[in-house]
Amino acid sequence: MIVIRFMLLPLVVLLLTACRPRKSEQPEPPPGFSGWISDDTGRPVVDATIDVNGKVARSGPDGSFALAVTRQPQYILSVTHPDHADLVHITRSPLPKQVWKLARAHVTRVDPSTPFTIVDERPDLDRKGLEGATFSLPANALVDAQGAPATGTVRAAIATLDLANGEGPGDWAVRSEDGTRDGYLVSYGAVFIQFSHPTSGIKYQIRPGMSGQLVLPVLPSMRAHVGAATSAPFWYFDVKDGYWKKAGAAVFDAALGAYRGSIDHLSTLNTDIAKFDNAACLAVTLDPSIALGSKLRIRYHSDGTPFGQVPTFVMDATLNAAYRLPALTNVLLEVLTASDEVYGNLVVEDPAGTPLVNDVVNTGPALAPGDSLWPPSPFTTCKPILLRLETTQVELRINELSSAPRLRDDPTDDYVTWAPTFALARLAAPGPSDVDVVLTNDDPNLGGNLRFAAHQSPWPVDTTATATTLSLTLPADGSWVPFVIAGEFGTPSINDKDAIIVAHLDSANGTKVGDKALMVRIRKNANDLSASERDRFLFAWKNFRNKIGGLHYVLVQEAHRLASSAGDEAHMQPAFLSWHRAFLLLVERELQRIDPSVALHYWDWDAAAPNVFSADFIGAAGNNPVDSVAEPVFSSANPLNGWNTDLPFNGGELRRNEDDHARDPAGAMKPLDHPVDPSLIDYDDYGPTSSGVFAVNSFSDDVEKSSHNPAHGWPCGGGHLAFPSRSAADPLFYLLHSQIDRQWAYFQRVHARLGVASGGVLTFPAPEHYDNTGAWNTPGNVADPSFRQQGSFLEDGLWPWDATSGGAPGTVGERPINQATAGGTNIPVSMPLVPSTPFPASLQPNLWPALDTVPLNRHMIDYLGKFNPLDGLGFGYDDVSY
Amino acid sequence: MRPHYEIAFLSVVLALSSALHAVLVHAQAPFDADAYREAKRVATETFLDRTKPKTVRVAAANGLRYPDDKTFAALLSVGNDRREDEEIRLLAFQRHRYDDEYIESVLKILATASDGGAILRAGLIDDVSQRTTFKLPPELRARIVTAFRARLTDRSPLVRLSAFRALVAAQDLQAVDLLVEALRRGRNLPIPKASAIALLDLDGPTKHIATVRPYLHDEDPQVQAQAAHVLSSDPDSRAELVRLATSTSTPELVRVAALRGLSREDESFETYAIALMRNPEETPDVRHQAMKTMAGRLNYEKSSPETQLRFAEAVRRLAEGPRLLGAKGLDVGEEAKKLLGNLRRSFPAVRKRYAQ
Repeated sequence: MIVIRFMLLPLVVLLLTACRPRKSEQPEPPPGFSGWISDDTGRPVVDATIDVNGKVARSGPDGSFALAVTRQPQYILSVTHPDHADLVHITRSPLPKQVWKLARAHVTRVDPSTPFTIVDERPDLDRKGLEGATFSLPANALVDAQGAPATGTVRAAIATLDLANGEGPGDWAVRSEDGTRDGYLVSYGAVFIQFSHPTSGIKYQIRPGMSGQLVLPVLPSMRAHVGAATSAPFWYFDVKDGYWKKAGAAVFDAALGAYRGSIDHLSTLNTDIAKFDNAACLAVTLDPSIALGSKLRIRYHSDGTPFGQVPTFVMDATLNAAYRLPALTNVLLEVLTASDEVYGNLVVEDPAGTPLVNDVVNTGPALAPGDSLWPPSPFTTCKPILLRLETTQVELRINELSSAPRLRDDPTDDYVTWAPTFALARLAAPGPSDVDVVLTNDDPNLGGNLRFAAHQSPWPVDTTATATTLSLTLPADGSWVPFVIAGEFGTPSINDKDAIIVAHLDSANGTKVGDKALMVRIRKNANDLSASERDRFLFAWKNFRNKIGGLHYVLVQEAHRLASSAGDEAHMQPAFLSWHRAFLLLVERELQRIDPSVALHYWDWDAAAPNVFSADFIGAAGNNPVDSVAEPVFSSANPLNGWNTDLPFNGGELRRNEDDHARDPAGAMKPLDHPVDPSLIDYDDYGPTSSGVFAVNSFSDDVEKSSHNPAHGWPCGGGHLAFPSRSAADPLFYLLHSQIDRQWAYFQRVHARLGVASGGVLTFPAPEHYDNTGAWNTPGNVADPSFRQQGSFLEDGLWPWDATSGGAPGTVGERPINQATAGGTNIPVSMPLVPSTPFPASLQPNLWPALDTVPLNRHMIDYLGKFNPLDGLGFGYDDVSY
Repeated sequence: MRPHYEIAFLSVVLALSSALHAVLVHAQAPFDADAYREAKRVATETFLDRTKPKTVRVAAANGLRYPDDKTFAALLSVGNDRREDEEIRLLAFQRHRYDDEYIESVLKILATASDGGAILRAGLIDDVSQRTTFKLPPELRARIVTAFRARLTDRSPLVRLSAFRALVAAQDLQAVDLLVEALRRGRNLPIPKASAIALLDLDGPTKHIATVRPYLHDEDPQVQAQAAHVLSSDPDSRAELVRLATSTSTPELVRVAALRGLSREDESFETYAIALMRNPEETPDVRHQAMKTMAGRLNYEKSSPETQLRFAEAVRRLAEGPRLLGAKGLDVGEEAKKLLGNLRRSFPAVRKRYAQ
């Protein structure tokens, strides 16, 4: 039988290929290499260098690239970028329209004239279940290609690779030391290490005769197999020929769970065992249901020879080879969409015509001695299998537009508020006919819930999704169908991705054919958070405080100090609320880069908040027997324990007063909305007047004086929070200002102060909003160009993102100034300079701003995007409905 | 002994006040606006009623909630009334909103030596300081600073202390210089030594090392503790501080303060902090402080996997060892258990070692 099967297989393959002329159904791919470079969250990587056999291109603003090549027997595609680990793929044919994902590196600076150690401490290692590698070099061990020593500060990049998710260069090829045999590596862990000049980009190597010490943790999947390799070589990847080469020797350190040893060459480094005698390969035929260009990922499944890496092959023809696999080993096959999502309906036929009960196949016997480990087409020495997709599957995308769907889904943008959010659905693979589906919540009693609406263009003003289910007809050709969702007011998520949309065939009770997990991410009363929400929030703050480079915490702290200095736009002026809304948004988005499930929760002082002012959260009141201020009390396990303000006093300790902050604040801060007492929403006017001054007895004036100012003093008379020049050093600042912003949002909701649609244009007529004209007038409404106070008018830019400066010192026209001239006693020890760069583009494509933008007062008002969902800011409050 | 009617009235006010609180905080029950108004009316009338005993009026102040304009005017009147008890006057100002009338009245009292006693003057300085530090017009800030500076030489130690606290927190050089000079002199200090050092610590420890050094071995443990914290940033005092922190003959107060400071400044902190944690002869509070400050250090300073593992092992022993209760009832073992969980989350090496 076996003989017959092998005789029949080529015929079956031939028939399949001949009967279904795949290429005639697909647009002809452009010649050469093209596609997109993204990071491992799907965001484009701009200005990456793509090199194919010496021809070079760079990725554009959307990460795209194109590179024409001449016909060659083998191509080595390498993609490099200073912030990421190198990526290398080896192929026999050009690969158009591919997405190449780069692993972000931990980047730091070192002084090569002294001994140093770098540690990969990226927060996302935790998410990947990896431990970070550590690398040490003695002094003066780095030289450039000419042997000249590295001087000054050197840029260091280190990235422990997630081999289980396809990271790692090349195809694990290795050649025996005598050069006669090819083999493959079985990896126990890999790391990318690179040193370069911070401006010229010149790369450095280890000085000949010297070496560095590498501690490379064992991959989780390989921990059980270390016993077979208590010592193993370190290998480095040579991009010139695509082979791994020995770079040193390592021994397993059981205490650290890592290989430790010396290396004399920098690149991507591996601890591996080389195999020369048991390689196998698969000849993979694609059914027409699978698009050419899809990727095949191969995971070790069970028993047999284990390997840590997960080889990935681009299937660019009807017949493909997956090679350098361990022989007689069960492997799990995954076919990825162009956006790197795994098809859930893959059927593996082994042999063709015999579907397996799951996606696991055995790689078959080893190739005979002398056979190529990468045989030429039609791969007759490899074991043949066939892949196809079965039944209907629905793919759902959140925060995307049908006019410009992303090439691949970005799981970091699956977050919604009460505001309408655009979403897409389609058949995962084209089918014979249109398919009717109904979208529902998975279980309304669990996690966050969603509401649905059919898409309309343009989306009507002041409208959100309200239906509990939605029927869609998905076209047979797999094109996208837009729809709209929103978080159901009153049921926000508690945990990340706990709101699940389910697609059912034909009816709400029909067969489940797809789902999508997302989060109704809402700013909540911090006193009511679950322990999990609180801890995620605190860990995000800790990681933000420890972030180096980019927009880091001390930079934010310093921006508030400078904004509060001369020409203060942020306080006691009309822009008080809008400036702080932009500031909070900036911080919240940084926290969400660390943990997308975190929102900037608020301290509601209309009631006692004992859970907030506790040792396990923002800190309980401290006790200093001889002073009225003290370090707040944190429990040992609190991520805020040991918080360092980076300010040159108190030894960096936080300080607050010693009052019982958890007591009921009634009477100290004016309530927001109260059935009996005077409250903030009693005002009708927002505040700024047509002449651009701050109207006394308006909402914005009173919220600052009667709510904001006493709140700063409540826990912090004498402490950091009491002074604008240092208040942002205390994480409590952000909970306090989230409350202020919530008060504004609530006022906007009650008094309909989100703008007025007039003739299709959003306007904000004074005095309910800002004046639209921005006239340069004095409070007495007398034209006087010398008076203009930036931030008083609707179209005014907000500092520092508007990059303005100047104005006569001490006059109302003066702008905030930069640290170089600001002086003062509250300058952080690390002295970061606040850049005058625009407000960064939103990570979510459906939110403001689409591109780096100078924020204006007008941008901050319609935070829900009531007049255009694309202008929404992406946050909401648990008790302020749409 | 209090008269019966006073106790009865006090009970009514307290009951109304707590009912009010319950209505607001636990909003499951429908809000009873009439009951709220009535409770607030009773509390307001009681507080403003000069005929009521002081204790009753003090208790009623908690029920004022957020006053209306009429009540604010009445509160101002009470606050400015020299015939009123000074604690009542202070409460009236504390319950008043911050506005021009409030600040003008307070500054006037502070400028009038004959108006009010020490409790009122010190309390008003504290109140103004707490309310106005955030954002003030420069002219008003100057007036407040002037008023506070005038109280640096007040005949009352309580008022002087409040004035120094308010001004040093606001980084007022004149107040800081006065403290530095007084500590260098070593006598005739305007405020207690320990408080003076604590305020210099607030102003910036590195600026005042030379001034504070002589007080590291002061006979008063409070003074010694404050000095130890300041001097943790002094490399020349480091060895002596470590000796004090690790010696069982040092007062615990001083050891705790020294550990707090050293954890932020001394790169070798782990060597003795972990030893203190593991030493069963040490008090629970010292072992807890060593654990807590070491955990804080690991949160925000770079550390090697070896250090993380050594610390985690010491934490594990505290978590699994005999029950340790600190002086304030803190269960050191319970805190250690939670900490071990977070160390697992933060450090891969710890997660692997203590996976179970």
